[in-house]
Amino acid sequence: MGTATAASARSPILWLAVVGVVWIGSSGVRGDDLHAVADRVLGCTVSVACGIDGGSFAGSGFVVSPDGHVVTAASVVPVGATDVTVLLPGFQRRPAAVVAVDESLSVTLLKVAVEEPLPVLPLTRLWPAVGDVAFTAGDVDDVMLANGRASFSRGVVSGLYDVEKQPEVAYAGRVIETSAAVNPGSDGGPLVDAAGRVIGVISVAVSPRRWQGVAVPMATLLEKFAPLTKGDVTLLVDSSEPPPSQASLVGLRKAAAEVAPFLVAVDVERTWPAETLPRESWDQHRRRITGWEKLPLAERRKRFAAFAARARTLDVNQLFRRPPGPATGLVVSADGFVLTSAFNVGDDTAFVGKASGQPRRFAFDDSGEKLVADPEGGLVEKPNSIRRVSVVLADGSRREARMHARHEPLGVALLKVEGTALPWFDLAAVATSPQLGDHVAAIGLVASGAGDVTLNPGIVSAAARSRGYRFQTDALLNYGNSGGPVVDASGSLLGIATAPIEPDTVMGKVFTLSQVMRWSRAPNSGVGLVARADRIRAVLDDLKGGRSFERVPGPFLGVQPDESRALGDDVVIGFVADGSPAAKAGLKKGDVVVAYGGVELAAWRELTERIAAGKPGESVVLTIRRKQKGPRLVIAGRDVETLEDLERLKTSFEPGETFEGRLVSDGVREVTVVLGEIK
Amino acid sequence: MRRPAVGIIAAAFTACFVLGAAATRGGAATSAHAEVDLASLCVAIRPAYVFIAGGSGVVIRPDGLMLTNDHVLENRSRFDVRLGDGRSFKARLLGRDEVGDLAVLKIDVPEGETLPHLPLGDSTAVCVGDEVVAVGNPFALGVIDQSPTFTLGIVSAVHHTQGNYTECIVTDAELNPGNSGGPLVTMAGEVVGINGQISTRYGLRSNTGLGFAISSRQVALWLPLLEKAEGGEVKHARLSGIEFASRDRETPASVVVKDVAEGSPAAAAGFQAGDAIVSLDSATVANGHRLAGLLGIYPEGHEAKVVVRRAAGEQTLSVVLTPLEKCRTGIDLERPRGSDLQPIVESVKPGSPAEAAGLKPGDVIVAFAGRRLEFSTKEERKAFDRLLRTSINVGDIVSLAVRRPDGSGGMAEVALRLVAR
Repeated sequence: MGTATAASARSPILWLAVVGVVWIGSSGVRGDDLHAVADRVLGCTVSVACGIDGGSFAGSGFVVSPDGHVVTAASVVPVGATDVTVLLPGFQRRPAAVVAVDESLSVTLLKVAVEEPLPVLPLTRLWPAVGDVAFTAGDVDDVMLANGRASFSRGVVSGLYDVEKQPEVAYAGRVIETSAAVNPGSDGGPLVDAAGRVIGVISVAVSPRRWQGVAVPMATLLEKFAPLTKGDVTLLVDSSEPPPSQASLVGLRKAAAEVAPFLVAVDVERTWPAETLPRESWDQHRRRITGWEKLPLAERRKRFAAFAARARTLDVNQLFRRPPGPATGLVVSADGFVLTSAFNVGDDTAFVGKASGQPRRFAFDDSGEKLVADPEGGLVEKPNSIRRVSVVLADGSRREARMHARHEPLGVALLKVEGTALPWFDLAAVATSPQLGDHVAAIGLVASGAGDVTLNPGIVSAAARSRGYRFQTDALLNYGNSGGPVVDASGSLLGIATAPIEPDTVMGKVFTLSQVMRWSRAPNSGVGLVARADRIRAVLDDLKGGRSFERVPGPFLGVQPDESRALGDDVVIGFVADGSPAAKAGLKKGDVVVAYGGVELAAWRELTERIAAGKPGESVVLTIRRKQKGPRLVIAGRDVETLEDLERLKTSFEPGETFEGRLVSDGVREVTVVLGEIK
Repeated sequence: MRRPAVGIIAAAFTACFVLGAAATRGGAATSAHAEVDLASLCVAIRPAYVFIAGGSGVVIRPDGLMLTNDHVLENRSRFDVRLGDGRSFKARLLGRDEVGDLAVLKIDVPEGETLPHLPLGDSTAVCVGDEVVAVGNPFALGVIDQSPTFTLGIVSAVHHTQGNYTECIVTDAELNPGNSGGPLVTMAGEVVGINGQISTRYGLRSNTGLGFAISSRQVALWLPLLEKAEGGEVKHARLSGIEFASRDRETPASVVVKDVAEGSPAAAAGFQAGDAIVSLDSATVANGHRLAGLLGIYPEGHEAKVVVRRAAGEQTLSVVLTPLEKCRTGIDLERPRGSDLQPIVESVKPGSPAEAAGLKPGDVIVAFAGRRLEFSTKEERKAFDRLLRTSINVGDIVSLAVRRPDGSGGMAEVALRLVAR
C-alpha cells in the first residue's frame, strides 16, 4: 500500500521552477551517506527563540536562502511575536525579522541579516512514500548551546494522513508522520529525505492514537505559502528522484505492501468514549475551596501546585486511554476471522457522573491521591463496556464484527466478521522465527477506509519474551498499529503487535499520581511485545473453534521469584500463591530452592524450566534452605516448629512407639510438593 | 505547539555514553549504506552485558572489570551480577564518581578464567549519524529469562550537556528505565558510551528518542583512578584562577580571559588577561558552555593542554587542573510533598552563599543556571536535588530564578557566588 501511494505521488509531472532560482542539489547530498546528509542538514538547522505575551518560546528552523531566510513553524513564532532571535550553527545568535506568518499552514518565514551567504537546505516538491528514510533535526534539550549544532535523528516516513485542526495548530490537511525523534524544541525544524532535502516542517501536532511526530509537507508549502510562491525568496528546490534506500528498508516496504491487502481497521465503540470525560478547570476547583479568599498566600500556592500536579495526572491518564479511532487487524481466513491485539478489545473503565448518567467532573481529595465524589452529582466507576466492534475495509466499507476468542498469554484476540469472503492471509505458510537483530517493521492502518498503511521499522530486541509466546522489538508500537502484523525484510510475517503498554488490565483507568509515576511503559517506548506468528498458528484452529485461553495450561507450583535477589546464584521465593501446591507444601517467602528433584538449581529460569517439564499430579522433592534462629527439632523426618506441630505429630503415632528426633542446624530441608495444573 | 524555551529535564536512571573532543571523521565511522550483520553483532555483544541491581553494566576487560552508572549502585558496594550469557558472579565496587555518574566494579572471576568483554572505543571518533546499539534491561524485562534488550539507533549529537552529564553523546537508540549503566556500542563492537539518562515527556518514564550517554573518553580519563580508589570517590577538576570577560556562556567573550588570580594554577601556567581560549586538549572551545562542558569530564590532577590566542599568536599552555571542592550553597529544600515536586526553599543557612544572594525561605526555584525547571516525576526532582548537591563548586557563580511567595507572581534573579569555606 505504501509503495502504491508513493507511485501515484510521484507521477511523472515535471515540476517547474516557479520560485526564484532553482539549483539542483548535486553538491554532495546525493547518495545516502548518512554522515554527509547529517553534516548538510545540521549546517542549516537553527534554533529560534521569541517572546510572546511576556513569556519566551523556542523551537527550531532551517535556512532556505543564502541571504538569510529561515523557515520555522507558526507555533514557534506566532503572530505578535517579539524579540525574535535565531541561533545559527557555530554559536552565532542574530536578531530576525518576521517576514510572514501563515497560521493555517503552521509556518513562519523569518529573515536574518547576514554578512556572507549562508548554506541552505534544498527543498523538494516530491511527496515521500511510507517507508522512505527520513531524518529530523532540531534544537532539542538546548543541544546547540554547547554543541553548536542541532540534534539529528533517523527514522522513516511512517505514515501519510490527514489531520484536523487542533487547539494549538491551525493546520488541517495531509501530514507526513515520522518515526524519527520529535521532541519539544523540534517544532519548526526540518524533516528531510535520504538526499538531505526538506520534505516537511516539523510541527508537534501529535495524533493521540499514533503519538508520533508529524510535519507539514514541503510540497504543500511550496504550493500555498505565499512568500515562497511569489518568487521573491531565492530557494534551492530539487525535485528529482531520491537515491535508493537501504536493502533492509526496501524489503520491509515490500513486505508491508504484500500484507496490506489483508489489513482491516478495527473500530471499537465503548459506552464512554475517552473524549467525553471532561476534567475540572482551576477556576472550578478554586470555587470549591471554602474560604479561598482568606487563605494565606503560601497555602494558596500549595493548593495550586497540588491542583496542577493532579491535572497533569489526568492529562497523562487521557494519553493512556484507548483514544478514538481504529487500531489494526489482520484477516486470517476466507470466512472472516480477524486477528488483532487482545488489548484493543480489552476491558476498560470509565468514571461517570452518578446523577444524570452523563459524564461529570473528576475530583480528587486534598491528598491529591484519591478520587472522591464530585459534589455536583458524584462520580462512579463503571465498566466501560464495548458497544460495537466493526472493521473498515480498504474500500471504506464497514462490517460488523464480534469477539470470538482470545488468547491471553499471546495477547491476541480473534474477531469474526460477517458478510462475503475477504482477501485473507494464510498463516499456515508462516515458518520463520524471529532472530535477535533482524530488521522488522510494525505495519498499521491510519484511518478508516483510507487503506493507507503505516510502517514503523525496528529490530528484534529479544527473540523470546513471555515464556516464548512473544518476542520484543524496538519498532514503535502505539494505539494505531497494535493488532497489526510485524514483518521482516524477507517478507515473512513474524507476529502480531500486542499492547503498546503493559499491563493492559489497568488501561483506561483514571490514575492517581503515584500510580502514574510507578507506571512506566508507554506507547512508542521502544519496548514492544509481539505475539509470535508460529505460536498463533499452533492455536488458530482452537481459537476459530471458539476456545479462549485465559492462562497458560500446564504444570503449576505457585511461586514467584524475589526479584531483588534474582541476579544471584540463589533461587529465592518472593511470593507464594494462596492455596497453591507450594503453599500446601509449606513453602514460604524467602525460602531458597537449592535443588529440584535432587538437581541443583543456579537460576530462577532453571526452576521454571523444570516445572514446565513436569506433569500435573507429579510429586517432586524440593531441597529448601530457610533462615532459622538456632537449631530446629526434626522428629521422624518432620519439622516441629510449634506446639501445634507437636500435637499433630502425637496423634499420628501409637503409644509405645519409638521414633528418632534430632536437632538440625543447617536450615536445609526437603519438601515434597505435588504439582498442580494451571486452569 | 508553543513550548517554554527550555522545558525538559532528564531523569537519571537509564544507560548512556558520551564522547569527548571535537567529532572528527574517524575510521570508526560507519557508512549508512554498508549494512552491518546486526544479528552477529548482538550475539557477540550479549555475553559481555551485565545485569546489575535494577540496571545494566558492561564488562570491559577479561579480568572482570566492569562499568555501570553510579546511580545504579544506590550506595551499595557488593552485588550479585549476571552476565548476558546467564552466568552469575559476585562483584564489588572499586571506585565511583557521583558527579559523573560512573562506577567501576570488579567481578570476582575464578583463578585462570576470563570473562567475555567489549573493548572501550574512542568516542572522539564518533560522528553524528554513526549507527549504535544500546544494550540494557528496560523495565526489568530480561532479568528472569536472562536476555537483555538490544535497540538500534544513531548518534544524534555530541558535546551535549544535560545536568551533570557534560560532553555526552545523544542517541535515538531507545533507552528506558533499566538501561542505565549499559553500553552504547558501535557497529565495530566497541563501547563508546555508558547510557545513563533520558529526557521524558508528560510524566512518562519512557523513551522519546533522546538518550544521553557518558563518553568513553570520560570513562578512559577516570578508569585508572577509579580502579585504584578502593571503593571511594575521586574528585572532579576545575580550572582555577581565571575570570572571564563575559558570564554569558553563549558569547565568544565568555572564553576570553579578563583577569588571572595571582599565585593561581592559571597564573603558573602562563595565562594572561586578553587570552582567548581556542582549544582544550585538542577540543575546540567556541564559547563558555562548551568550556564548562569540557571541564566537566576531567578528574582532579589532569594536566590539560590549552591553546590560547593572543596578540603574539597562538600559544599552548599546560595547566594542572585542581580539585573541585564541593561547597555548601546553604539551601535546604522542602521535601516534595505528595505530588508537589517544585523545589521550595525551606531554610537558608546564615552566612552561606544562598543568604548572601538573598534567597529566602518559601522561594520557589524556577530556573537553574539558565535552564527552566519542570518536574513531572519524582525521579526528575531527585535528579535536580543531585545536581544542586554535586554540580555547584567553589568559584562558580550560578544564577537562579525564583518565584517569591508574596502572591505577586513576581520573579527574582539571584546569583549564588560560591566561596571556599
